[in-house]
Amino acid sequence: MALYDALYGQEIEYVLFRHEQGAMHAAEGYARVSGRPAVVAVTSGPGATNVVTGLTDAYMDSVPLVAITGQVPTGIFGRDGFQETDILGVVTPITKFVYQVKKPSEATPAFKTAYEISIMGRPGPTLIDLPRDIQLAGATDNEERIVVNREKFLPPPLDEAKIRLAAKYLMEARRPVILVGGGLLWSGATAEVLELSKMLNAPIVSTLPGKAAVPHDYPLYMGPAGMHGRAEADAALANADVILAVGTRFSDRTWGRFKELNESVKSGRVRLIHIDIDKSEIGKNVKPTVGIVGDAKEALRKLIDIIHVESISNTKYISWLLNIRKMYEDAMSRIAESTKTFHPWKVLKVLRNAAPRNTVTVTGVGSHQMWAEIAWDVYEPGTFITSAGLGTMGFGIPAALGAKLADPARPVLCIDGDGSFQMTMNNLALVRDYNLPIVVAIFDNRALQLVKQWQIYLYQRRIIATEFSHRPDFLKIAEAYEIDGVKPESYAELERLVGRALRNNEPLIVDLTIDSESDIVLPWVKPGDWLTSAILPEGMNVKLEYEED
Amino acid sequence: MKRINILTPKSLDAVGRIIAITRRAKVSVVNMQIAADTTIYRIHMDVNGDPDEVNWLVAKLDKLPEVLTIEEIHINR
Repeated sequence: MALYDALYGQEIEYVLFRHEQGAMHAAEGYARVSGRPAVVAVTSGPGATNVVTGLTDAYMDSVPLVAITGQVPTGIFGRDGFQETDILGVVTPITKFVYQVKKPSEATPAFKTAYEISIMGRPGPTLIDLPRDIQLAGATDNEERIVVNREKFLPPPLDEAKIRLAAKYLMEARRPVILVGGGLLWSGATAEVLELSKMLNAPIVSTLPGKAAVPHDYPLYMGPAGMHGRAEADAALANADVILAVGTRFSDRTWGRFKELNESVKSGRVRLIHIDIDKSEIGKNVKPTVGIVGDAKEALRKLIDIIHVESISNTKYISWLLNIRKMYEDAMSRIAESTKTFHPWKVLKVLRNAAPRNTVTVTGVGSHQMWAEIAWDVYEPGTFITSAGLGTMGFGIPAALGAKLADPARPVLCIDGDGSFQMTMNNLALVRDYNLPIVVAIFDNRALQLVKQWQIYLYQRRIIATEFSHRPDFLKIAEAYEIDGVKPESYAELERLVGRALRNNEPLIVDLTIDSESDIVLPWVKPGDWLTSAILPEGMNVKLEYEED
Repeated sequence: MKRINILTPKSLDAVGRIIAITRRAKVSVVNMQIAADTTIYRIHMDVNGDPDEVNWLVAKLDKLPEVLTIEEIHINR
């Protein structure tokens, strides 16, 4: 309370969320749009433990933010006082930096350190724990030095020899592929990766966070690869002879499993070049042929300066990949047309038509998110925000509010599922409280659909604890928060209503009835399978293994 | 066997963070000593394990801002 009291009458904007988890995801949305950390201040005990999910989410997806937690007075530490929690002990493995202030002279420098470290190098969340007696003490003239090693977060100079070796491998490649992760976006290296892709005629594949780094109307962008990636992206990665991976941590969700890749790299069949600002990522899951620690933008620029390619004879390979894309789109179009209720794939196409190109799109977590991974087109870098590493249901609504706070002039669309929506819908109060007109499209299948899909395929259809009742009525939820709610009956009506709300900067909640039985997200690389084993939609008969003449 | 030498500010919070990472490493910690100076802790860990796993541990520890210096040396026992 003392901290908030000190803010009274100050020019620091505060935003009151309905739950601490919501504030954390909003800070993530804010950071991803503005590029700057937001500060989340919460009370001790339950307030502090409620930030844990958001901290972990930000840690997994490398998002900068600063959390300030209240704490009991230093004099009663360890005496189990009211709302005492050892929050440092709790958040130790999920923060980039954490500090408990024990003297008033440490308070200001501790906060400055937390803010700086959150954004230096690979971004991440930090936390400052402020005991009550410190909050009540007056500010001091002298600032205690917080002893940390900041220099380690500065990108090291690039290893020239490794860059030259990487360039040589890329110039020798027959089927080069560039894999981009979220690190590319933070580095601001979109222009460089496109330039390099054009030089090498190399397809670009992304991770789920990396999806936001490349404009999808770039012809050589194949989409995200992995568990619910696009078939042409899976095929591109699985059949490459040289892979340039930039700003990615080699997640099992992108690769299915590492056995094939590890064996191919070890045998020399595939040359893997890995560029990352975090040296602990190099070789963590897959040992690369060349590992380069450095900033993505700088490293790609250096490669562009060195690489000179006369011509790459991979036209047939590119055509093969593009044909896989066409086959998928055709198959999904047929499936959507034969589905009586809204089909998620078609809904996303319609929403994309309705949304201006600069719309910031935020998703919840679940089947709707996986459909968005596959079918949502991103046109401007940084305009697709999702919880990738942790997969946090409830991320959508508050992150969309955070995105709107960061850039009120930009349309914000939240693609959510009914399960994910219900976890943080209490934060909808902020739409009117702070004039944050977001549009929320709820893919309403009355199920925890992605888990249900696993039960259908992997557990012989033993459906348990994944189906909801018809409660609540989402239109009444909308009404309770003074937001217009609609339940469209056709794709045309959906496009008209959402387009109007986004253009006019008006809030809207759209309840889309989706038949759970036909909501099976494909392609799907089952957990532990290799990319070429992807289950494809009906009518798409193609092998994802490339055969050279 | 590898020895990992770490220098941190004299704070048990820093030690807690180091332990939190070490417990997730696929290595066996056969010996650990912490010596206090006026303002710093010197931590010495002797670890057995696959070289890649030891490298993982050192790289992860080196991400902590409170790890002021870290070195990994080969020792024979």
